[in-house]
Parts: sequence; structure tokens; C-alpha cells
Amino acid sequence: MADSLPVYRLRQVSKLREKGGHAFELTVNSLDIFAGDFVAVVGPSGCGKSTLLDLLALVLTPSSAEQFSISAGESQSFAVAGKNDVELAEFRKRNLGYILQTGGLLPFLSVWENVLLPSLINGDGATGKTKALELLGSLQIEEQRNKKPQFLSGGQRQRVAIARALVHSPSIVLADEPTAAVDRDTALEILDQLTDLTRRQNVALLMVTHDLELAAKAQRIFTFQWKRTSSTFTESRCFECTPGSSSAKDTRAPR
Amino acid sequence: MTADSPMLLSFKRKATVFWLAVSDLKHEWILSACMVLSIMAVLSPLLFLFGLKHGLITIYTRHITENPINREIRPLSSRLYEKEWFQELRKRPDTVFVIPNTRLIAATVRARAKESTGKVELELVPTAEGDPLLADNGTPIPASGECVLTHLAAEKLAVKAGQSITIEANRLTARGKSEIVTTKLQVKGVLPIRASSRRLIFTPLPLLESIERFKDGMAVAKYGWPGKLPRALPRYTGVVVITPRQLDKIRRQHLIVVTGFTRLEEWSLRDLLEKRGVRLEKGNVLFLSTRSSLVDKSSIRNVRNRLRGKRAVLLPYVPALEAHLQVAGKEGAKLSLYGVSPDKSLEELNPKDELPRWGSSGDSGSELLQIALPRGMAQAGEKVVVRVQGGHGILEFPATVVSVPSPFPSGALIPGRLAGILKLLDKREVRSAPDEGAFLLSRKGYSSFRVYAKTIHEVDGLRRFFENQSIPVRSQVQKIASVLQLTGYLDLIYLLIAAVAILGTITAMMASLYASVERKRREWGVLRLIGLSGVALFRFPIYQGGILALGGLLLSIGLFEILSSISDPLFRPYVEQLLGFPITALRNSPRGICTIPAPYYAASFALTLVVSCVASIIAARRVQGVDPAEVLRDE
Repeated sequence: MADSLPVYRLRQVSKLREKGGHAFELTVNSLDIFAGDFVAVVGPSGCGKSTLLDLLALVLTPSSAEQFSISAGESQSFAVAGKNDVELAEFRKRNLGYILQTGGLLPFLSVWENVLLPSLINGDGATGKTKALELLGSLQIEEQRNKKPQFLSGGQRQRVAIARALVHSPSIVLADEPTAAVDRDTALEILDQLTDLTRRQNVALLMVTHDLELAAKAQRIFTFQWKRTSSTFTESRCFECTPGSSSAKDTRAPR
Repeated sequence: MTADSPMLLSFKRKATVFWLAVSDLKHEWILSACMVLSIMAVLSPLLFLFGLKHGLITIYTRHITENPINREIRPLSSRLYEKEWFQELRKRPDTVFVIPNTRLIAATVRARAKESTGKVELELVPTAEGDPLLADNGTPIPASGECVLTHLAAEKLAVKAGQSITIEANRLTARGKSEIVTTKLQVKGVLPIRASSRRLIFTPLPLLESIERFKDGMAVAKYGWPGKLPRALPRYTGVVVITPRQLDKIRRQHLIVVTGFTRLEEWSLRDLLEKRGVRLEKGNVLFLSTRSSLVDKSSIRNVRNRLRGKRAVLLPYVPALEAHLQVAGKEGAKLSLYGVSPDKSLEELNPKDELPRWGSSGDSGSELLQIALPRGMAQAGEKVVVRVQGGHGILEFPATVVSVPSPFPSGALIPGRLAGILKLLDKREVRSAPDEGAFLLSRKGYSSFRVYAKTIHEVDGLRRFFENQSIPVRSQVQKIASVLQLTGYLDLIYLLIAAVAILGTITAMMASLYASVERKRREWGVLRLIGLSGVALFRFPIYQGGILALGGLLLSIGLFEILSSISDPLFRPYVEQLLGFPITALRNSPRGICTIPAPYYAASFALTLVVSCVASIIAARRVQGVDPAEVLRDE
């Protein structure tokens, strides 16, 4: 795995955000995520999880970066700097899968339509249909295919979201607290299904969570170290704290 | 990935966005229905208003603009309009129908349907093929011996189309006796009250001309009405005076003092031969002429009186006339006509060549229509046809060849009086009337007329044309102006109402679409995350706006069609009763009293799409501006 290009490679990436007179700066010194990796990002609210996720989802552009590149199956990596809205949307469309806390399903589309949507947007509905059927089967939600999301249980919804995130065979799946809205047993079950699918598809999975028990299932864990330097400024640093990894020993555990 | 072309991909993406927009509307179908109904609520009254404009209002204005009465122009006073003037008027592109009229006094006749009933005084109005007053009111154009009556005339006479009436005209003789003539006319049709509120009788123009002639004391052969004939009397340019002895200077000068002649010339005997074909051995020849106008026989008589006892020969003179001669079975030939009427006194001077004697008077009938041709052209007694062109047309008449040949190799002799009549052709139109045995003067012109402008928009221009010629006319310009002004105002009102309604639709749609977009911020974020660009999402509200607006329009049209098909039979009889005629009588009559022509439907679809686009733009911009990061933030 080490000899292939990392899916994400971030070096000295920082993002400064200001909101209501309060400034927040996130710095990522070094972050490499490879295909097939299951990475958990843990930390409480306000530590910079969302900012990191936004950066990785290409919906926020970094304030400064030594390197920020994505390689999604292509031999050439995709340098994020200087790309416009349409180019970023195009990249997201092809290479990213997204699972939101409460699914993020479109209420006006049925389960089947929701799952199929990314491949439709990619202009590849035919392949998408086969893939969608397969995913619905794996996730055991075939019977729900004609229902609207409002008639599904929380767990079913998250499974649909997983199917939608994977239907267009992306390189990366970003999951934002994917199991926060369901009970623990279901959460574990869903996470197993998700990791099983991403592993099989050799997809890099990055999951943001505040649940350490779930995070423990990941191969690698990233967390944050933050400091309120003044009444109007907070700085935060993202680092890897995977148990047994080299960088883990110099880190303090989050609060 | 797939190998689809960028164009196909772009189309697929647009189709996907459209499908998403439709799915969203279907999902929230109650809200969608509410929006469609609210759009319908604005559009329906607007459609109904437009329906009335294209129905009822159009019917009303057409009723006025198409009524020939409003396009009619008549002169207020009489004066002589010559035939050429009418030709010019007919050529104008803004006139559709021009008909001359006689003097009003000649147009008054009395009529009755049966012997037993009383006589009704009517005004005769000439008509002809193409008369809009008759044609547009669905009445046939009467031929000779037929007439059309106005509603009031028919009512007073108690006749219907198909029945006959007798009209009579009268004149007072010099002795103060009343002479009455009558003729029978078949009623071909009756004009509705809308065409005229007077008692009129429409007949072809020749009947009016005949009645006018009769009232002027003339005879009308066609109807057998007695009277004088409008004879064409000869006119001369000079007179040749031949005396056996020379006249003294005073007497000669006396000939051009108040005789009608102003110039005196001495001719040699050779002049006389060359110009008149009269060869004399002796005698003195004078030529009296006038510088400008033509003289009549009274001038000749004046000269004759002054020369009493001098045994003078007078030959009334007109210059040689160019004529075309047709001898039966031969080619036509051109030749000059010399008017010479030798009398007894001339014979006393012993002319060398024999001259034709035209007869005792050479005044009328066959004696007038004689010709002496160059030798060999035709047999004596043969009939030839002579054609002469003058300033007022061509005159053709038959003439009998006399036995005496013409002294000119390519000239013919004719009676001096005939030459004088032919000379008149330079001043007046003359027609040959063999039945009446004479040449008669044709009408010089007409005293009045009736003109119809092509449309009411041309009436004012025509009025100015006449008034520039100092012809005061009666027209409906004021009424027309007020109708045009009214329709102009109505159009403006419709425009304002439509503008307000469209503005209202835009506002209502804008508000609904914006609210819907606001509610769905989360969905926009998800779609952005999945990979739809802002540009692609920009179309989402536009598609929705278009679908909702078209739905509203279709519903409105449906409602309109139902309402108009119900209201039409309900109100049509009432409207027709008000107007006094069936709506279908109008040219290009509207389909009903509440109707929208097909092109306006097409235009309304186009306008609706434009309006919906405008209304969607703010919502679309809002969608485009949604930050995909917001969705993550809300988590």
C-alpha cells in the first residue's frame, strides 16, 4: 500500500476561519490516507473536525497549504489549489461519497432514486442500477427501495446513505457521525457493513465521530490539540494518534 | 467512466436536474397544487378580460368601424364634377367605391306600391356593383329596372323584397302645367335600419340621369318620356365670305365689329381652292375668324345681316379635321374632312367643279350624314363609317357617299354643319344618336357624388383631399376619432391591467419559489456535495417555476374555455339584439363574445415561460449561492 499514491496527501495545510469576532485556525502538519484505509477523526465539538471534513470534501479551500493533493485512481494526483467551483464539483461528483449524520437523503426521492442519484449525475445510470441493486442487497434494504426516506427508520436511512455514497464507485467515502442517530447495537452493525463494503471496494473511508468505541474500530485515528490563545483566537492542530503509531507518543489525549 | 460525449453528458445532467425538479414538485404535490391554483387565480380573470376584449369589444368596434355609413363621404354643396375627376378619384388607393350623383332636386321622386295606396316621397340614390352600403349589409345590387329600399322606405311603402313599386317624377312645363312620368321597379332588397335612417331608394345611375334629364325638360327615349333633345349644335372657328364685288374698307371693318369675329384676312381665289376645294373664276374672298373661342350660328347670322344685298356667299369654316374612314370590305383609310355647304348664291358664281348639294337644309338626319369622297374610294350611295377624335373623346357615325367626288385627292367634303358638330368635340362629349336622328350632347359631368374610404382610418385623409379642392364634405370624422380614441384607451387599460396581473404573478411565484428554496437549503447542500455544480442547481427553481406557471396557464385556459362556452350562448342573443344584427355578419367576425384568437394562446405560453423565468431567478440565485459546507455545519 505504501508504494501506491496516497488518496489524500496534506502537508502544512491550514485554514483560518472567523465567525462572530472569533477566529479559529486549524493546522494539519501531515496527513496521508491510502486506498482501503479506515481512518477515524475524533474530538469534541469545536475542535476543528468539521473544518477538516470540509477541507477534505473540497467544499472549503485552505488558507495556505504546502501540499494538498488527492489521487483518485488516476496516476496524476489532483492538486486542490486554484480549482474553481465547477472543477471541484466535478471531482466530488466522481470520486467522493458522503454519508451525513442523518443520512442527508433527498426527501422527494425514493430510496431507489436516492441511491441511484450519484450515478445519474455522473451520466452512468446503467452501471449504477446494477451497483445499486447489489448494494441494497448487501445492506439488506431491498424491500425499502420504493419508500420515501421519511418512512424509514434511522438505521435504514443510514444504510441507504451508505449505498448512495458507494453507488458510483468513489475512491473516498467521508462519513460525518454516520451512526450518531441510531442506537449502539445498530451503530455497530452499520459500521461493520460500511467497513466491509469499503474494504471490499478498496475505498478510503474517513469517519468523523466523537464516539471513541467506534473510533477504536478504525485502523488509524486522528485527533486535535487546541489552545485558546486569546479571547478571540483559538488554534488547533490535527495529528495522528493511532495506538502504536510513531506519532502517538508525543500527543496528549483530548480532553 | 463512460465514454459519453460532453454534450450528451450535459444533456443527461440537465435531464437529471429536471427530473429532480419534477420529483420535488410531485413529492410536495399539495403545495405544488396550491401554487398552480394561485397562478391560475391571477391568470384566469386576465384571460377572461382578454377574451372580452377580443370578443365583445372587438364586435362593438367592428360594428362601428365596418359600418359603411362611417366610411361614407358626400359633398355638402353641388358643383360640376367632370368624368375625368371621377376617374382620378377612383384611382386613389384610399377609396373603394366612387359613384357620381345627380342634383338633389332631380333625385326626389314619389313612389307607391299599389294604385290604392298613397304616394311616398323618396330620395333616389345611385348605386353600382361594389357599393359597400349595400354589399356590407347583405343586400343585392339592383340592376336596371330594380331597386333597393332602406328599411324606413320599405316600411312606409309596406313592401318587401320581391314586390314591385312604381316611381314617378314630375316637371313643370313653361306654361306651368305639371307633367308626370312613371316607371316600375322591382324591389331586390331592403337595407337594415343600421344602413340608413332615411327614406332612400337605390337604383343604377342611368335611371337618375334619365330623371334629371326629364326634369330639365329633355326627352328620354329609353322610357319614352317626351321633351327636347340635347342636340349638339355646330361651332365654327371662322367664316369664308365671297362677294362678287369688292367691299369698301368701312364695310369690311364693320364685319368684325360685334359680330363675334375679331380677325379679317383677304384670301385669293387660290386660297379658296386649296382650303375649301371651291374653284372660282372671279369673286372677292374674305376670311373672318376669331382668335380664341368657337362661334356659333348667331355670329354667322350677324355677318349675313351686315352683308344684306351684297349677294354674298357665306361658308362657315372649321379647319380640316383628321378622320378615319371605314368602307365596307376595304381597309380603313385616313383622310381630312372639309366642311363645305354650297348654297344657291355660290352657284350663281359659277364654280368650275361641281360641288355636292347636301340637300335642302343639311340640318339633321340622313341629310347631315353625307360625305363626298375622292374618286374611286367608294360607290355613290354606299355607307361608310367615319371616326373622328376630338378633345372630348371619339365620335363614330355612318355617312352616305354622294355621287359628286371630292376635289381633294386625300380629303373628303362633308356638310359644313357636320364639320361644326365634329369641331364641338374639342369642347364637349358628343354622341351619335341615329334613333333620334341627331348628334346629342353627352353629360358634361355630375353635381354630386358618394365615396367610401377603404377603412375608417382613411376617411380623414380623404376629407382633407376634398377640402383642399374647396369641396366641403360631410363625413363621420368626429365619430371615427372618438371610436378610435376609445379603442386606444381600452387597449391602454388592458395593457395596464395585464401589466399589473403579470407583476402580481411574478411576485406570487417569486415568493413561493423563494420560500420553497429556503425550506430546502439542506437538500441543496446535499446535492452540491454529491457533485451538482451551482450552475446545474440554478436551473432547479427555473424548471419548477416553468412547470408551475404552465400548469397554472393550462388550468386557466381550461377554465376560460369552459366559461366562455357557457357564457357565449347565454349572452349572444342579448348582444345581437343590442347591435341589431348577427355577429357573424361582421367581416372576420370573432368566434364568440368571449374568445381568444389562437396566436394569443401561443403568445401567452411564451409570455408565461418568460414570466416564470423572471420569477424564478431570485430563488435560483439563492440555490446557486448555497454553500455545501452549510449542510455539514448543521449536522
